[in-house]
Amino acid sequence: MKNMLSRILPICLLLFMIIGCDEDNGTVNLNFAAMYDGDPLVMNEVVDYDGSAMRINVSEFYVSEITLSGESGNLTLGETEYVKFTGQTGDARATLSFDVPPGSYDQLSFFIGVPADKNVTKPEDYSSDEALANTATYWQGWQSYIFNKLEGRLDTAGFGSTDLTFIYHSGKDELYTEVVVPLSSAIAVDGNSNNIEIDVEHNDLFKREGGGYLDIAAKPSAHNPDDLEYPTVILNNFKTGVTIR
Amino acid sequence: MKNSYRYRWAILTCFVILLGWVGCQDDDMLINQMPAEDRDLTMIPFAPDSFNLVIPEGFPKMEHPEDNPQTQQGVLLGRMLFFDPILSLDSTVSCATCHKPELSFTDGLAFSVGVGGRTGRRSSMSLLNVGFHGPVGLFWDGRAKTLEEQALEPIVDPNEMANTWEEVELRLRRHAEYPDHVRTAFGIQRSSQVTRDHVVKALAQFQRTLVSSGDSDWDRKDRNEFSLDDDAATGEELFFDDIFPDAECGHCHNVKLFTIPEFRNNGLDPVDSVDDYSDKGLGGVTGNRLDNGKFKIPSLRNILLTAPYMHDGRFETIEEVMEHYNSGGHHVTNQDEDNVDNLIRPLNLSERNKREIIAFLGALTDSTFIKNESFQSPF
Repeated sequence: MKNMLSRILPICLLLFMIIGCDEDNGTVNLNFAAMYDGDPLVMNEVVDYDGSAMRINVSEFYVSEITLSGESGNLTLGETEYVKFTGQTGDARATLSFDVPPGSYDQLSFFIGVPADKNVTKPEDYSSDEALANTATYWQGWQSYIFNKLEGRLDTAGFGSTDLTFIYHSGKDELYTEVVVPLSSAIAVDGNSNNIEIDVEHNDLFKREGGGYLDIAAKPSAHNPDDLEYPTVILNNFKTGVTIR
Repeated sequence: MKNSYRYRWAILTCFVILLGWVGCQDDDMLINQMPAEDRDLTMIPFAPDSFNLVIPEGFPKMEHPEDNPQTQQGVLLGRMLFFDPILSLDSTVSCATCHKPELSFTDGLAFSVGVGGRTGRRSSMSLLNVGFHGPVGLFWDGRAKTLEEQALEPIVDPNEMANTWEEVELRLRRHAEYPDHVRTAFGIQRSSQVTRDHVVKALAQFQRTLVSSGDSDWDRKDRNEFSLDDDAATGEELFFDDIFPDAECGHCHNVKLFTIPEFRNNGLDPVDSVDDYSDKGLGGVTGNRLDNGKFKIPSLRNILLTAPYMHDGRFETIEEVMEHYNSGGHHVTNQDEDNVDNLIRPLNLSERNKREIIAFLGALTDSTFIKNESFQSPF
């Protein structure tokens, strides 16, 4: 009998620990919201762009090395994911969800884009459920993933008609941009569901350092890998344009 | 003696007439007249061999449903069913009627013709590389998520095969050969166990074999085994925006499949509102009116073999297609709901540019694929 107990007890303890550990895991939802001038951005609705009417209808980007930090140390939530703002009939939002072990965290960081070691891979290297498998976000000419897409239309004549299409795509290793944002209050993951509300202020994405906005009418497209002026401004602005609500 | 001679001749004549009459009968009518014998098939071995699918280097992984692994026996059955008009109401239309190998599995028509000469509302899509459809699904509007799901529809579509699944199952169960093939592919034990599930799985298995050969001029150029001529080489640079003017083609027709897994509105029709599109496309499936006018992006591999173009075959030539894109197409007048792709804008391509891009498209022609013996009718 004693022998039997000595065998069963460790198994029971192990089982208890496994079940116990599993119960403590929680969910962290990163709720990205596209904003414009402090208000929720509705895709294709008119917003004011430095005095001109503008419509944004595409905004999407890769996020990599998503990390929570705090008392519990650093925890990498995901390697590379894709945020695609949708909601053509309402607010543009996107959510990434992660299973997270217990801990206390007060800071979120991630990079916009794809890290260099993955940027040498191609969509065919991944299975279709992975973010990097999408051929729509890889550009053969650059031999690179497209880190972000920001597209829309601008009224260049002042007649209320958004006549000019702008398309800014970026994707070069040097544009891989880190975003670090402190959480408004620390989250304690303990078997519960936690939401982190992340605003992406699109008005900020177009701002030039030192004042003013990108001259969309002068350069409505960014395709050329040798001309990174506009993509650099846009990617760099994610550092300040991303905030925690 | 003379009477006996006449008598023999009369019997022989009757026999010949009877033979001729029987011979003229439709095979399926004969099958339907056969007794519904439920044959025991367990004497036939069931030991399916896995199918060795050859995929060119650099292509994406093909995903197979767990409940429908590709086998040699399943592919053979699917190939037989694909080319057999037995699936249609009057045994006149097969899958191959609208998907001919020599036309890269299209039919050369704006609207495919089904049983009784009836026509549908969309052009048949090429089946080249159809197994790589990914998350966008199948049909121009993506309404079927898998090849198995897709195969359920044409058999009962009144404008295509106009049949019922009950009738198809009955015919196949009574058929002299199909139950044996279903046994070898899927392991049924009796002929009465043939179901539509076996039909769609076999068709899907065959269609997943319809993969590029990797022998097109562009594929060989991509492997540094071949050089495109000057026009095609320049066309490629225009296609992928490597030189000005940007032709913007590569955004939606990206390597290696020359498509991307998305739906787009490419500005074919001048409309005031998205509600005005006569064919709603994706919007007809999702119910989201801002999806109206969006269609699946077709691959450009073998594009010169698959005229006419667009979901409704409105462009008879590739030159007309080029002209459409160069013109900038038509946006929705109500800008609040304009869902036409941002890349649909005047391109300012010269006549020479257009010729060069078409020369490049010619480099995507895969003659080896369309001549592949494994893709032809087994009958």
